[in-house]
Amino acid sequence: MNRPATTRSLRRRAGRKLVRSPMAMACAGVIALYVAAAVFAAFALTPRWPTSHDYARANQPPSLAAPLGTDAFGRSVLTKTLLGAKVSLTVGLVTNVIAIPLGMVLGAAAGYYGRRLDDVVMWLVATLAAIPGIVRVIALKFAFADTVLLDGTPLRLDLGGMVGVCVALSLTFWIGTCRLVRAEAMKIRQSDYVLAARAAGRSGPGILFAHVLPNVMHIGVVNFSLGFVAAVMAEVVLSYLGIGVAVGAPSWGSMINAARSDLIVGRWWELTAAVGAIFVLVLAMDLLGDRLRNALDPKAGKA
Amino acid sequence: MTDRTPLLNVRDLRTVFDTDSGPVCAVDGVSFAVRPGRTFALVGESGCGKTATALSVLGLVPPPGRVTAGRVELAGEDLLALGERRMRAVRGGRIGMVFQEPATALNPVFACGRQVVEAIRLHRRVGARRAKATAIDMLARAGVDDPTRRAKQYPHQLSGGLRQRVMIAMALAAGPELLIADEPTTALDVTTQWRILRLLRDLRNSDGLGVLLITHDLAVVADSADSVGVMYAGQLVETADAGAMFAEPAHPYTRGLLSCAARLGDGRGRFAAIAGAPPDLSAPPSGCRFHPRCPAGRDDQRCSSARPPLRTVSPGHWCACWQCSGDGANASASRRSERPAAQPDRRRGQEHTDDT
Repeated sequence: MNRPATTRSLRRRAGRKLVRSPMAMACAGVIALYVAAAVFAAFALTPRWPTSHDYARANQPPSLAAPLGTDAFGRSVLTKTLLGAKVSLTVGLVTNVIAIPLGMVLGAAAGYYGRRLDDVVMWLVATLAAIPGIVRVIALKFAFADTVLLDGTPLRLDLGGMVGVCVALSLTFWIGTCRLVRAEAMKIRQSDYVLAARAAGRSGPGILFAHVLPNVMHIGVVNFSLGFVAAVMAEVVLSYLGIGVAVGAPSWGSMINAARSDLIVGRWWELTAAVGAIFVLVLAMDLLGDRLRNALDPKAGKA
Repeated sequence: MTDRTPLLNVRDLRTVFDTDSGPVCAVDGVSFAVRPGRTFALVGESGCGKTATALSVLGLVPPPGRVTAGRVELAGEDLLALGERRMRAVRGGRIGMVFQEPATALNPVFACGRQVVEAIRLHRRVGARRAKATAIDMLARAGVDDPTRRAKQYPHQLSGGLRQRVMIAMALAAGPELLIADEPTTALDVTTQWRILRLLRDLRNSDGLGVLLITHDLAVVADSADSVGVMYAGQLVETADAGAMFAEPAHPYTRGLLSCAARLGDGRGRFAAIAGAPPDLSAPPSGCRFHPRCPAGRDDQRCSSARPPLRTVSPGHWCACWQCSGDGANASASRRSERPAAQPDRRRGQEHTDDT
């Protein structure tokens, strides 16, 4: 075995593998464009989003003035699509920022400590998993209707809208991560380096955070990328059904809903813009997630 | 040399695993002492309770196992009476442990240096920079060449010998008084073995470290140990200074082990193996646990009915065997070769347990 000239960590090696893959880099570029669009939408477009309607300019096909045409209320479909990117990326990010750490910590603790804690966590997982995913999310979303947390403070959380979507999705998405991490943690619990850590005087929580969680990080990273796609799509479905973001707020799902009868009369642009935006984002995310999983898998061979 | 007070004093240690098929007594009344600056070797076949003994000392017997009786004293303090929090300070802080398989005992996701740093900072209040300097110093002392570079490498980038050196640096990082080395060289190739053993010996001599060496390799014992305890089926059957053990083994099992060891140029074409297999500890043989496989005392009723106590053979040399009372030991040794081979020992062992 020849020594590598420079020392590389597993993480850095995975990063290098990704950078060397043109497909992964193309996908990352596309996602970066979406992020830029979302940031631009959040700061430049949201304040100017028309609350009044301009029926004189309604339902116009794409033109120089409105590159993607206008909707039934005379608003720019391009602006709407960009604002939809903001919603989708926020939901994808916030959902997984809540769900992945939750699933990882609960799964690792259940797998490492076992016994009663494992019973409780697995009971919770089994109970939640017994209800079909979309039904669970819809039920939660209905339960959140008109619920406003911390009302009157700057941290006001209106669970009826986008935040509610994130929370409902998080409470669903942690389950898969939890299961995978738990199984891995049960293996790690038996490992020599955990015994060695105990022999070195580490406490139980110390081992959980210093040894178990770092060794399941790859599961978190991969599930984050998969969960992101799933959350984006779930938000679209919920908004399409009218139980996603607040009524009237621009989102790809509500765009599809608004435009669903437009296609028959030949107004294709709003539906196309929303579906195209979803399609490209989901494809890029999926491909990048796939490359990421390969890069993080030490057994996947050299790429 | 034997007059020094023991660093680790283990008395009548008993560790039981409550399995589904009943309790299994993995460590049954084991007593030994490790002195500062000396190496005590626990020898025996796989599954005879060596590792269980070491884990009992550290209070790390995995469930469903537990220590049910005995005393474990470290410099006079009873470790079995300590609470978990104070025991954690002992682990790593006062007792370091080196494991058999350095490939799996190091966490694969962290650089080696960081693992040594953690071992230091678990027990000493030092800043990150000081801890790092100490870690590199420890790696250098453990014989890691170019420790600054090696500290940044990951376990999978190191050879087995280097990994074991990193393990040793970790075990000694917080300056323990006792080092438990559980088969430290078993996973290494022969030339690396000797380098690691020499390293352990040097560290022991320079730091006055007491070493509890667990091994099944008699060559390792002969090389490194000052005194030896031989374990069989969870019990200590013979204990003596290393010299006496090799010169005049008293217990038939010890003699069997020694005759299994390869010696250059002794002219024999074959090894004399001990017939049979170690007993099932959930149903151990009655009386002396070795008697179903024992070449000596075939006709002695005591062997199959009562457990032989540890008796003095000569000063500093104890043996638990009904057949070896001082000078009578050699007679049974000569009978060993007359023993018919390929006896169905396991079945006979079962018969004896049925008697109880």
